[in-house]
Amino acid sequence: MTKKVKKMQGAISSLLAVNPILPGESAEAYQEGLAGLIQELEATTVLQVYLAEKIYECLWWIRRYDTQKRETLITEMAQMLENSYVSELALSQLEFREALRWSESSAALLRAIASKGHDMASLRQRAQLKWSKQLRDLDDQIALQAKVLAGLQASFEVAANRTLNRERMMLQNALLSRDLQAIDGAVGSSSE
Amino acid sequence: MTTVSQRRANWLNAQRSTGPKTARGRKRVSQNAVRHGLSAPLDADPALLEALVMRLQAGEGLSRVEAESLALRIIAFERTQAHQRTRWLATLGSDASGDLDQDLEYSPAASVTQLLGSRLVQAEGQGNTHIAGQPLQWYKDALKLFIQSDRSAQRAGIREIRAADRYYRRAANQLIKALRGLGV
Repeated sequence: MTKKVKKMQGAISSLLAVNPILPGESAEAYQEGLAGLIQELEATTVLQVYLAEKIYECLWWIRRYDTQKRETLITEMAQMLENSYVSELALSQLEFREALRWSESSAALLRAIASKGHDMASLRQRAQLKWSKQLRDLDDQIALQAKVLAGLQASFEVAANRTLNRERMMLQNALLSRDLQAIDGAVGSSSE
Repeated sequence: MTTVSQRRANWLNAQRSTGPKTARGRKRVSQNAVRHGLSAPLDADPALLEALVMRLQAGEGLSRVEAESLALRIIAFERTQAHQRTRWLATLGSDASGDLDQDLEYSPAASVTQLLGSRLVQAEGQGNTHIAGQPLQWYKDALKLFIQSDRSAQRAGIREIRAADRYYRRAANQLIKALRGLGV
């Protein structure tokens, strides 16, 4: 982790030594996003910060799965294009991957796709068909994370309202005890 | 028909091969059937649990019972999340070193291959025949190998995450339920 970004970790996560970032992921991007969410949700208490972290982790998982879906397709498409001879240029699988990753519809790429009897859409469709089970599994995982995310969001609202309710009740108690003291004082003075 | 002496010999042989004898061996084989341990009862460190309870009590004004129940749910949820992360690392395959290139966009199946490939493309562009003493063909073969291993690891990793889905779902539901129960 770079020193530029302050590590955002709530009391519960630090206690449990939770490290949501995996090798190869940008810790900076994670911490920035989390800080933004905590600020947006105005999470202040221990539980609220923990829930905000979990909400963000769900979003991060969804992003992970989504990236994996994209990479799966790109790798398959590049493999299908491998060994396609394009006039003066024989692109390696890696070059195909790079071109597909950045959606560079270069003439060489399009010619390579055409040489395999495909266009971009049909190539993608073919890759999707071959990896349909894995893609479906990843979609299921995204759906699961979305469901957990919704549950955590509802829980966050409960936690936030709970804090508000607690403060309101404390104020009401203070008001009641002041009223009681006033009544006690009034009764005391009238009996004298 | 088995004779008495044969039966006795069988019995004696069986006595010699009835599994591990030492405590260490027995302990080891007792874990043979463990796949992920997520269905096992939660074995939380008492000191950790106590610290968590204290934080929840101090920060949220929860009663001891409420805080303890919530703390156990949190630990159970974290256990399943940790398992998910570990399994997802399996999808990284050969790419688990993590310090390859901070600028690369996160993509489990791609980082090593991107790095190897960019070196390859660069060397080819410059007309070099070797990279760090290795011929270019070696790099090309390595690249293919990485791509293949990434893809099989990816399949296995996703399968394992799916297999542990229900534990994650259950832990999440129990945590959410416990949190909603506090909402009065």
